[in-house]
Amino acid sequence: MRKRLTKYLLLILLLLVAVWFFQRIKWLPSFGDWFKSKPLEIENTAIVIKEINALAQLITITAYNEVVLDEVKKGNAFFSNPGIPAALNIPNLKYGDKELVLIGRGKVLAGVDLAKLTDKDVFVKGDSVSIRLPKPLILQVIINPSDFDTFEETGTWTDAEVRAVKIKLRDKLIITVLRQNILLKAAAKAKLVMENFLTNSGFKKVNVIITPNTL
Amino acid sequence: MFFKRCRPILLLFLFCTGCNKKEKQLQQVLALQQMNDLATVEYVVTKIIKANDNKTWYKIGDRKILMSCKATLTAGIDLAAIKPKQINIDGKHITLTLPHSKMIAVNIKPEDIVEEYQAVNILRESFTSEERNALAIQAEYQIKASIGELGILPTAETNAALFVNNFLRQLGYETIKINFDNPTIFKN
Repeated sequence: MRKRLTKYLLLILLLLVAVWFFQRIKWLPSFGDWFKSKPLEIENTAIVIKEINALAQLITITAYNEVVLDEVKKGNAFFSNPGIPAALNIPNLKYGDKELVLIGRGKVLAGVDLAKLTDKDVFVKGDSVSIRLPKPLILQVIINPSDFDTFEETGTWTDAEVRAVKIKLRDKLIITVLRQNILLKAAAKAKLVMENFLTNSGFKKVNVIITPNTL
Repeated sequence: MFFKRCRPILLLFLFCTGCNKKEKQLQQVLALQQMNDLATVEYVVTKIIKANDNKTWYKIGDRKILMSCKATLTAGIDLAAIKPKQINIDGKHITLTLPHSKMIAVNIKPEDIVEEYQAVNILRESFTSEERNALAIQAEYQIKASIGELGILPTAETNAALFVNNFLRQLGYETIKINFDNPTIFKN
């Protein structure tokens, strides 16, 4: 009896090893795959061009940074009127708090907008040129969906609530990056790029002035 | 007795299943990077994000979502790629060879992704923010993959030539000839 049982157990084990082996060489789907949720995939819908805008932005600095935002929303009370639980002599119960912790990795592009350059900003005399560049600006703040990580999510967060948290996180990124003096660095680099371009364009004396930033 | 006999098989099984994890490589980025890009065009594109979560056999009931998404694509040229040998000056005549255009940025602002519709069966849970973001990531990749078909790079070159032409005219040049040389660079 015992010998027979051992034989069956050995047979089952061998069968399991065989199944495992075939799964390993991808001849059979793995056990985990049978109960794995199918990934949620979006349909390949059309991309519609809404606007085409001409730009003339000289981007001279890209600042990368990572910021974390922890947003907690206190749960509302079951009864909007606090008098009701008091009248019923029951505690004023509340819904649980909800928390969303997002990590965002974004980049900020800074430089000067050359579209603001007017005839008055350019002065040419023989082989000398003097140019006044507009003040440096933050031209773009890029924090795309793939740049966000949800570290913690408790409770139900509506689309509008999450969007508000993401905008808050982007503002935090801008503040963090501005502390690195990127506008000053962007101005210095824009001056250098313009000086090189004008020197290469045949001018012997080049003077590039940047409009000071009031920020 | 049985386990004693089968020990080698069990050990082999455990060894083979336990050693298939790969270490994730750390990404390294420079905090501040200097650039010399002249952004000359911006395309604003929209896309509908449509997903239906009904492909898992044991999940009963439908769960579908519809979101709209707007992205801003920026392209331009690298001014640092213009070398002195690519500029020929003869009095008031100038010939300039500009580098080909490249993608500078794909920007999908958080406020530009909006949930328009959601239908969730009573037996299913509603979409979490993480799931909604995962769908937006797929849309982002689809937009990035379609950059070549949108025609943004030729427009960026046309605008770059126009801007440089006007700028050189402002500097006093009368005859301006602009060419493009290097192969096109795609950078996301």
